[in-house]
Amino acid sequence: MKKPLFFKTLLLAPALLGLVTACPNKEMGIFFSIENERKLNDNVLPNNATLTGMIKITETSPNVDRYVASTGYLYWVRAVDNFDYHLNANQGGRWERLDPPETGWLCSALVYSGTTSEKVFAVFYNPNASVPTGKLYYADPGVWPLGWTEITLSTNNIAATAQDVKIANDQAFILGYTGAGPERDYFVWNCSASNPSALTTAVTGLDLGKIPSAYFDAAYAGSKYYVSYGYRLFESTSPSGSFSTPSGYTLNTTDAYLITGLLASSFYTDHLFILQKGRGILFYDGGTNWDSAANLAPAVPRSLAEIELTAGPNTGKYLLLATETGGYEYQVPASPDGTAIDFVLPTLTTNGDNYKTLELRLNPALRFFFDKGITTNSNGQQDVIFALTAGYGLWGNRAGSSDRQWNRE
Amino acid sequence: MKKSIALILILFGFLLPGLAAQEPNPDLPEDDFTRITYDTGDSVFSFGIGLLMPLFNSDNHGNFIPYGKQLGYGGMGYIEWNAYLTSRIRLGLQISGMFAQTINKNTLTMVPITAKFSYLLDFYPLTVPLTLGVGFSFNKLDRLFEFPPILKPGVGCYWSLRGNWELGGQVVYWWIPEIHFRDLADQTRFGNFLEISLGAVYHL
Repeated sequence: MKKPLFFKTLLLAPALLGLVTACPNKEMGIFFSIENERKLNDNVLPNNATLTGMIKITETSPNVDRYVASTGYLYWVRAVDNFDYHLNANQGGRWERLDPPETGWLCSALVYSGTTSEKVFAVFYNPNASVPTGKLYYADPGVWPLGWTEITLSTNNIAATAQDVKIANDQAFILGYTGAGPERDYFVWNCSASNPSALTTAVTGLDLGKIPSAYFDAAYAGSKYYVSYGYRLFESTSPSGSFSTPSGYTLNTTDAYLITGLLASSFYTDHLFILQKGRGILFYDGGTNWDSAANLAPAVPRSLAEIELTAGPNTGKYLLLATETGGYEYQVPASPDGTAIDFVLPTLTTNGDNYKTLELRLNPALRFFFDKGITTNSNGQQDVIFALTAGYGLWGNRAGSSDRQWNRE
Repeated sequence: MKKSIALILILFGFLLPGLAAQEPNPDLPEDDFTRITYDTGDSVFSFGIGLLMPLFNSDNHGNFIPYGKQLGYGGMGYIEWNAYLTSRIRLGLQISGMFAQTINKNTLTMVPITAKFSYLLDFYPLTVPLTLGVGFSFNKLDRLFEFPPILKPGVGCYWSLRGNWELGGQVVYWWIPEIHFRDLADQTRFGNFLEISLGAVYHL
């Protein structure tokens, strides 16, 4: 007996449709993800936090290392080997809150000048104020708890509002603006970490105009200072002035070419990585060579970090790259020649790491923070990689004896 | 696991009073019950709830990886409509749904839509359907989404009640190939689950 066409269609159509469309997901397989998921530790920081900065500082007497992270609120925890979430902050366990300079104010930027001049810079603002209130502060990292001192900003005798701060070669670059609403004028101020004081003159040559942008960065490579803002890129041999667009840099004044970050390379002497929408990653030698790391092919790179693991199961130099579509890891060749990057397949995560299976994979880091750790022990160097995300909290990846695992901080 | 079982028992508890409250067929004498038979043109509506046990993943290299603690027991439910092609064969459409949590409390949901073929073994008042479902499934985990085919062979056992109802349960194997190509080829997995459910059949 011939079956009705209706029943044939009923049987075959779903099966065929299923076979054709079995794999719409380009990220990873669901069953694969479940199979590789690892039980996460979850420290006390809010899992939906947006991280606005992270530093590691050392109190001088007694000698204590601490991590300080900003989610708007400031948190701290002692930096120790053999991290244990069950302990308190002083023992290197659970994060605790740190007071801002004024009650109720939030931190929108937090940086540390490094090892020479040693100052912490931060921008705080009052979230309940009806007018912009961003203020720049600095603190001595050797004294705990941090004591904040305000640095006022102005230009042409007009008081300015601080928005962001970056550090390059112990020089602080502060982004701020005068005016309000759409009539803001944006400027950059500079001060040495060794001598922070009131800033009354904006840096010359940094023509930022009236267009607001969340993308601001600074770096020092090859005896030059670089500042990026929106789609603009500037360079100068002096941190306080005479900035201009680097020769050979193709300026494209649309948001399709926003520069999302700068990184002065420690692996490739005098070189600068420029993360840019539309162009991926540019690799600049400070002269005439603008190599495009096109083989990365990220649509929008968000952050790049250089890390060197000297102990544990995956020693070597790595570039960690986060893009808007996911994270990547690339091992740097043993003998980089500095003129072209020959990225090789990622190896850091192939040894049981859970990076691919987490929200972190799908909600990549705004930036990474790498710490080589305190000492070495039987488990090898206890280095840690932190991933600072927007809306998905802070993640920590600590070296273990056999593999690495991402956990929520 | 305990929560899933409790939820299923509670849900099923809502169904039982409705079934128990069915009035005897007034057309039949109280003490002279006559068996009703069904044939071509008749149809049934069924629904049920139960547990979905995650068994194991298999890959295209012949490895079998038990889910273990990676995925907890899930709750599931289904509704379906079937028509009798003959007195022993039914064909219909089933929509089912399940949820389960991974080791980090991420929720896996799967909503298979299948064409269902049933061959009925008659041991009156018991009916034992041998079934095969073929279709596709909407699978979601966090922000991941898949649309794989699904195969659901199973066997059930239902007791004919007075009136138009049957009550029983079924055991169904869910085989779900998530096939990937190119860069994700190594992530191809064949999901294997076992459904144990209680259900009711109403003859329309």
